[in-house]
Amino acid sequence: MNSLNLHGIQKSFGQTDVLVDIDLTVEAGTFVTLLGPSGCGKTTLLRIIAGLDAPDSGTVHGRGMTFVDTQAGIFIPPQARELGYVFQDYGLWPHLTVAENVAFPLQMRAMAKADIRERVTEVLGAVQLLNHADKRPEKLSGGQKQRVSIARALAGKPSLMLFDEPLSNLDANLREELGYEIRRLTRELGLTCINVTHDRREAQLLSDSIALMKDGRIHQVGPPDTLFQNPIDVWAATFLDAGNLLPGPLFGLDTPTVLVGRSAATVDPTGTLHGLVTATLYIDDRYESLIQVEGHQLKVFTATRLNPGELVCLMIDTRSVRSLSG
Amino acid sequence: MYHRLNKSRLAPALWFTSLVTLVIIVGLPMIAIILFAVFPKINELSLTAPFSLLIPNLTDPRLSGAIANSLMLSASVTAVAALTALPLSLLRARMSKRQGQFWDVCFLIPFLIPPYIGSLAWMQLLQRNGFIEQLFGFHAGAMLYSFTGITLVMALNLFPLIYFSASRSLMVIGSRYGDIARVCGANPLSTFFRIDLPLVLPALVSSGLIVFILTIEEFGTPEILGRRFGFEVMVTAVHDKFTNWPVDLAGASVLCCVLILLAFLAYRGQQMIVAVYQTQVDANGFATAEPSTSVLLRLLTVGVFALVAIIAVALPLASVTASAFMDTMSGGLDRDNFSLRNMQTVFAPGSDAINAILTSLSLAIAAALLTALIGFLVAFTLVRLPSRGTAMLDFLSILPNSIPGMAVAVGLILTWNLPFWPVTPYNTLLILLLAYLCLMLPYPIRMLTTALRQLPTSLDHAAYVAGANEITVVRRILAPLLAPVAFAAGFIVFAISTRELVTSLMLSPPGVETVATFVFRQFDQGSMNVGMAMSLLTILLSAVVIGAGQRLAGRTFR
Repeated sequence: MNSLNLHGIQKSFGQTDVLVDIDLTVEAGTFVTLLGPSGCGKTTLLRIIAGLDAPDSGTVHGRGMTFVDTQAGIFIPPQARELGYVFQDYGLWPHLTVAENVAFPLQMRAMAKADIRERVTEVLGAVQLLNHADKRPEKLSGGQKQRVSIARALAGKPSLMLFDEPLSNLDANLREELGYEIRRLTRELGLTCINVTHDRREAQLLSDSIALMKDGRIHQVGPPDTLFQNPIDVWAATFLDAGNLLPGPLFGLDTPTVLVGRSAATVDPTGTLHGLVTATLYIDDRYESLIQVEGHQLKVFTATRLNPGELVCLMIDTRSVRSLSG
Repeated sequence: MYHRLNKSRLAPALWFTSLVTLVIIVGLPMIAIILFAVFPKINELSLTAPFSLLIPNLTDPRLSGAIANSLMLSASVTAVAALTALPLSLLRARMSKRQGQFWDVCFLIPFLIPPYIGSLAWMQLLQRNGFIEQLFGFHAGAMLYSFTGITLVMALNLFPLIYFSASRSLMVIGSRYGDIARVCGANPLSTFFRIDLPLVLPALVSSGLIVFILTIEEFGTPEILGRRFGFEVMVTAVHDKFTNWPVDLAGASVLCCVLILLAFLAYRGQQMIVAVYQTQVDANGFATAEPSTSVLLRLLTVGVFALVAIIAVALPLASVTASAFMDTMSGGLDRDNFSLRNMQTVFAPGSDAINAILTSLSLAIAAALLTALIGFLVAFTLVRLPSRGTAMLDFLSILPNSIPGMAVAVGLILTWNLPFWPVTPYNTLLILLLAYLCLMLPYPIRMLTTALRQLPTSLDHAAYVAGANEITVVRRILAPLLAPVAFAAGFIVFAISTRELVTSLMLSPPGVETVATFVFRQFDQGSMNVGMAMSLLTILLSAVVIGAGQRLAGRTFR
């Protein structure tokens, strides 16, 4: 009922094809991220779902209704789609207070004043900004601004929420905190969510499922773990930074390129591969070392520090090794 | 519930309205000028003898002389203004903040003095028996009524444009690049010629081109000073073609075409320079130069600034003020000759002066409101509703930047005198309003498009997604956000409209006077002092209105 269906979406600007034959189904109540490099068409796709852009051809069904059907000549303008949209740059109106910003969608639905006040209090409470209600957006920090933006999107009780890189303007700690909060709010309310980002961290942080996009097409879809463990080709593995890429054939795999998973290589005295440590750094509770093996460089995680110049033996867990095409 | 796929009918409607408005205000007069230049019999609705008068007109020695004079005058005014402004802006860069602000305000004052008033002020100062002769015993009438005199008077009025542009640019460039050159072993002189001058050159040239355009467009100064020694420029030649019988429409059109072409070329050049060089300086060089600590340099700075300020600001202002309160010019600087009589004449109920003030005020208010409204409409269409026809709209909206006031006047006369119009604004106040709209439109359009471009589109989109339609987005989001800018633009339009001379002179219906034509007529009739009283009021009004507008514009949302 609340699911979102895209079928055969095409869009070109002049000579450039921005979106090519996009089919995508988002199950009700799930959080899907469109992940891809800039220029892959992900933002255009989001704008088409919102109604801020129209596709050249294709259909969009959402909330049990037809948003767009180019053949039947149907196009519902954004103001009639009743969805929530969270913008990368927040999109808060600087001449309105926090509460007025949040009240705007409710005023557009001609809700009674008392009901609006009640609902504004409710959503501002949900994003913990009740005591900032009368401030102008300029007085808030980036994280607070994005919370207001989320509150404004939630105010009209949409069943479909769209996010445009909601975390990319925030610094690292805040990102994680707000990411968990978006996750909690959207899951609690059972919202169907589409997010757009070029940042794989943001995608991992928020999504039940990730649609990887390349050159206007959907390249691969799957839950984050599946996607990162089994990228379908070299491009996907490289963009996702899914692990070490080595030239095949290797470990009995007969493809030009072999993916060795992030944690598949471990330093072990019984290992058969010999390597030279070239650099070591400390990230997030562990050491990450670059190790030179037969002219190829591997990124390996260790619990203890390795020193550059050290010779080590490596053990490869062949269960985490994948063959890659392309 | 379901809409057709055409996203909105509002976009084409707004585009069409903007285009029609601009075509009527800007397009028609320009087309008329070109048609008249090519088809001399077009006012009889005949296309006979095309181009027959183009070559004879262009080769007429009087016209080619006027063209040569215009070019020479514009080039020398630009050169003198640049040579005055450059040393000032270099010294300005080493001033303390407060001192700099003081001189900046000081050099804003010439903007408030319309050039024709400035010329009259200089006449009172320098002519035989003028203020200078009365005080110091010598006069410079011969110098004033010469090419040098016109050049100096106009350059003194216009140099602040270059000064502000160059000193802003030097402030952005900062001292960092120069410091690096010094570290690399350059001495101050080669630092200046190899680093600072090339960096400030785009600002210098681009503001110089604006001065060039303003000089070539100027009517008042050449008319007032040049007439005395038979010096004719293009604009005064066009004026003569209309005031001397027989009226030469084709000749005036040909001259206007040349005038527009020159202004347009200069304007395009200026735009190109801005576009190419604007972003070349990296923003992190924003460390401004340290205020100088050398006593000698500081004394020199104060001396130079004070000298220029006395000549360019204090003398003309004092001349206007003194004349405004003197009963007669011939009475001289004598205590008994000073009274409030001129002010009483100006403010006498039902006087010509009061009527002129009321006419100018109502025209200026109408022009301010309408240009702000049209500016908002055009800006919204240009920035927020990109459609195929925006190039045409964009062109029409910046075209008036390069149309001299005289050409606007000629174009309007040619357009609205054609026999086929069922009704015509000609010979009514409406044609003056049309002229003001055409001349002033670039200000609100430029200010509002810039402001609108800086507003992120997510502000509109958030509203659409929240359920608002286009009208609501404009009314609830964009209009309140842009209101301060529209107000500021309106104030500028108001201030310039109240002193506009050339179209007012050419287009005022019989018996109707504006403030500027009133001043000009007082000068023609020899009632200089009443004219100067009116001039003083104009200057004060401009100061108050522009000051208020700037204050309002400062209250934008961030």
